[in-house]
Amino acid sequence: MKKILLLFSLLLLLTSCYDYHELNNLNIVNSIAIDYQENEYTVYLEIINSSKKDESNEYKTNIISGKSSNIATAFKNAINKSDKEIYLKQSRLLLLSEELCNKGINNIISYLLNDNTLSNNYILVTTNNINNFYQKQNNTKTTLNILNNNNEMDDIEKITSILINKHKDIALPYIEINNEKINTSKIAYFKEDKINNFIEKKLYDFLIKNNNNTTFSFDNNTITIYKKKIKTDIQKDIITININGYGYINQVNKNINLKDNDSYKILEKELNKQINDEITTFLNITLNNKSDLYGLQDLYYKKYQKENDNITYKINIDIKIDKNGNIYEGYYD
Amino acid sequence: MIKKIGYIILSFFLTRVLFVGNSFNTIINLSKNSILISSFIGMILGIIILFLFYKKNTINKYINIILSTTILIIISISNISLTSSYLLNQTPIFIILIPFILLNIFGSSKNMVTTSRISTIIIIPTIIIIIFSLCGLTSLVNLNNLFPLFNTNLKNFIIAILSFTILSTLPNILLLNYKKKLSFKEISLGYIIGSIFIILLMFYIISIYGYELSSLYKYPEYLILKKIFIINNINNIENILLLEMISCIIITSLVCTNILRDNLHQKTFYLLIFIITTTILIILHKLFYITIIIQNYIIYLYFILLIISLIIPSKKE
Repeated sequence: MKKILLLFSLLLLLTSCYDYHELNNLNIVNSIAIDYQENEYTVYLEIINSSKKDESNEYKTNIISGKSSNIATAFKNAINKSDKEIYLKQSRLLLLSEELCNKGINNIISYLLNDNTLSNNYILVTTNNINNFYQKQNNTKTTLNILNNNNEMDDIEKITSILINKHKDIALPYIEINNEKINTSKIAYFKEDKINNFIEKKLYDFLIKNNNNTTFSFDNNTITIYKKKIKTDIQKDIITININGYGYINQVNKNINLKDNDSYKILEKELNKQINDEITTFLNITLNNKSDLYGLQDLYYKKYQKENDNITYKINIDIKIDKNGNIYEGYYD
Repeated sequence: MIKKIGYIILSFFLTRVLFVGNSFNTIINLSKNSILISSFIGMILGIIILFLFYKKNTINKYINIILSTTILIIISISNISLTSSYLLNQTPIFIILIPFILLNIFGSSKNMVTTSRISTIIIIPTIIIIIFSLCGLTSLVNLNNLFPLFNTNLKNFIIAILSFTILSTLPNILLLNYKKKLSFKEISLGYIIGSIFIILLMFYIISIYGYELSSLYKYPEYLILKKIFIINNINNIENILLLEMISCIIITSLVCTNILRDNLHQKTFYLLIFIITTTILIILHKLFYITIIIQNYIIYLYFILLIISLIIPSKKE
């Protein structure tokens, strides 16, 4: 009898149904945005509208927002405006306004990292206009698709691990919205937790994110690097970045005949020079602005356990062309 | 009678149990990137300490009771704070605690052989979960995060070694109460396998998060599981993978309650369980700051217990 009573009590206690919420009673948050204007944080929560009124497959979203001088209170104020229980774990995008990034994001990151109602695999993005972003339905979905296309995005943990590393700086995708047109070709690079400047993200993706399928053009020749390896070698004060890989030809100009072996050597030489120039320009611009995106200081520190302000870098590029297209010759200049 | 494989499995669970909770954070903060070296040295030191205990043969009855009670309280607190932080964050603490205590009382009404059999059954899903977790995390490993290999001071490095040794060996001492068929080979094999799994987990934590980020987290061993994303489809499975840690806690708590039951009269046993339950409830409900003090200083208490249980002779001897 005792055992039956014990088992019965366990049956009641182990159901884990205490304070449960049905899916219909949840407001699922699709994305979160944080703005900072006139010493006040504004938190926007984009909520998926679960009631299906039309036959289209696209989901509709509603926006709720909360304001306060404190980020935690702003979150609470936004959540309090919801008619149902808020579910934040489905959120995949966190938009930070340019003004907020100019002020510094450490405060926001530490709050978000501490909150266990959020997932930790959403991506961080900066934008110049949060209001315009949410004016058009499905912008979140479109943005995520564009950003995730062939790119491995940094989640909040990756961003935090770089932010707390004083030898390296972060960069976030920048969404520029002008007249409802979305441009995602730039990144905002930071110095510590504040925006430093903007730059085209092609080289960032190629060099730092190590993404493949980067296209380089020179003299009407276009070549895509589809596979590569980046290794760094540290000798005294010089960090050598070695890039080896393979590319395929998208387009060649009139002077190139792909039946000729030497043409490939010429193309490879020109391509390697082009990549070298572009990377050097990218690194010089960011380093001159005191942002170390590649983490040269970090690499040096990890090897010698000391800091060095006089680190120089050298780039060795060895990209081989091993694929061509359907035609052997270009027919225009 | 406990089979030889039962001892190995029990030792495997007992070795890892005290690492659930704040211990990873403590050791990472102490040894930073040198965590792998310090843990490995700690493991070797742990084998030596286990050998000393094996040679000593038995432990004093009162030390046994103190040790079991302490471990039971600490793992109950770890279990509840982990569960209430991530799994049942709106459920009152007593609803989480009571089934756990009832399970222990029910388990103690059987004997140690039953606990050993349960652990033998649980070990298969546990190993599958651990291997699945480690496979899912392998693609995220960044070896650069392990460098520089030694970036802590000598004092913290030594404390980290001792911490690893103490945390991994202390629960294993409890097995000496059931030593009829136990040889050093079994206990050391279980200990080594358990320690290797802990070191592997530490390797994954440090190489994925880096020591700076992992030292910020309260439960890096749980949060790292959130990053598992297999075949673009399998994600958000951290709560299933957490079962491995929960099973570790349950097996150890059953060992502790069995020892308490064997060393105490029935009435005293129930009274002690009541006191333990009340203490945990009071600590978690009213005296939250005590859990912080426990987190910070428990390692010293473990150290004292380890030394006392090694020094004080048993009456049977």
